[in-house]
Amino acid sequence: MKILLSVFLRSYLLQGFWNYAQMQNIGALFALTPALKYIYKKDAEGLRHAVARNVEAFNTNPVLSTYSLGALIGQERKISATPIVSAPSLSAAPSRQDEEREYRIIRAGTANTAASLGDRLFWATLKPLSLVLCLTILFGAQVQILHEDMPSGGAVFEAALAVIASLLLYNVPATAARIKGLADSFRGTEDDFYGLIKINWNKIIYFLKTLGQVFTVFVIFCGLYLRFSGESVNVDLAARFALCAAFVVLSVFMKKLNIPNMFLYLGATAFFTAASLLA
Amino acid sequence: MTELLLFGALLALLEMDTTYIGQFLFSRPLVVGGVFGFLTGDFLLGLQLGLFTELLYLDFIPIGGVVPPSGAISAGMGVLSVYFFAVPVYFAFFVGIVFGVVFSFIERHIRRWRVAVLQSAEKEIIDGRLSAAQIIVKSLILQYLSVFAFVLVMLTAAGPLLAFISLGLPEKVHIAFKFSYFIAPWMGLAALFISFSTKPKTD
Repeated sequence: MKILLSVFLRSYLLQGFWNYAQMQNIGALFALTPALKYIYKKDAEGLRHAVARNVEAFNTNPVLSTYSLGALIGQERKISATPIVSAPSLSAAPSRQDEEREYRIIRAGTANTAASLGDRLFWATLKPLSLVLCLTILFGAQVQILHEDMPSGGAVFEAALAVIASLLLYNVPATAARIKGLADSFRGTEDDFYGLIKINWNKIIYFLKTLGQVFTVFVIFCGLYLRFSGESVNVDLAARFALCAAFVVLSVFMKKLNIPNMFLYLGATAFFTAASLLA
Repeated sequence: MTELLLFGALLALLEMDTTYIGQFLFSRPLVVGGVFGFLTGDFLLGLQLGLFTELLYLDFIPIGGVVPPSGAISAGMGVLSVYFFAVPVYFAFFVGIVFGVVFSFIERHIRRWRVAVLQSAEKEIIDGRLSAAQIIVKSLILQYLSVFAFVLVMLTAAGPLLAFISLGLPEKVHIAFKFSYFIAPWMGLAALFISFSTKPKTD
């Protein structure tokens, strides 16, 4: 239990030595070290081989990495319990080489699956959803956050609450997934793919994405209302609104071309500067 | 100067959360902007700068080898530019974005350095002459010091220069920067909606 807790805490440094060549290999070894030392406490040569196995390339989503780490600890235990056979054996029991081969399959398989699920769930869904929650609270508190001449002061408490709520919306499920990942994969087998298929991840992602879409539409309308409600309708407002709408459409189009909004913003700044100087 | 050092130290610490420690989202621009806004006396202004930065960076997802512009650096430097050099918020936002992009080049160099030391480090780890913890600690210290140095250099050298430029710019250019600042969150909100639109196959 103490060792699993140590692996769990160390998993927060999985990317501590991120590199282009082997990605999270050193971080994964660092996280697994307490378990490896425990498994091979009486086998120095076994530990050396285990360390060599674990400096191989590793890349996954940091939050769901514990699914892979737990599965690897389980497989290391199998490897350590399997005797090294120098001569070919007629026995049906798997040899240490077989278990080592299996180890590499588990390492690649669980890491790839956790990477795909974790990136989609945490980076591409829960992180933007936490931003939507923050905006919903801010607009609920009538904070003019989208106004370029935002008045200072105001609902500071509610604004702070919005930030804290967005952090919690991400971190509570992320921490729970890390803990569950380690527990399930450590006890898991090939049949349940080390706990990874115990949860219907696609259903969760689909639900959260739908929720995100609905709330984003709500947030956009609230934002438009808060930003423009106090202004008198005139040519200037109409022109600003039309230009803003044009850039939103352009942003959607750029997204289809995989061009980030940042470049559109920089381009818009250059365009408006040039236009204002030429006018 | 003490303030500058303390803010630099804090920003470097928060930036570490982007990739290397935890990833608790303390490094997200929204949080960094809010924290620095609070520390510099205008929480909502910091929050707005952070929010606009976050909305603009939504389509960068830091997976695999992708090194996006640093949202923490952009938001933090933006708020600090307003605080130390009294530049208008729309100009500070632009400056923050530029600093974030510049920092991503430095980040790439640090990652390349890690590749350069990796081979010998792996050998030493297997031989038991070096532990994974030791090399991670070394790498984190280097990363921290690099961010800290970057923040200090940019704020002491580039900051006053940008403030001087901002003061000298014609009114028309200020209006242009302000208009870009006005449209930035709306482009971000469009990206936010699209980010939820990919429907995965259900089982």
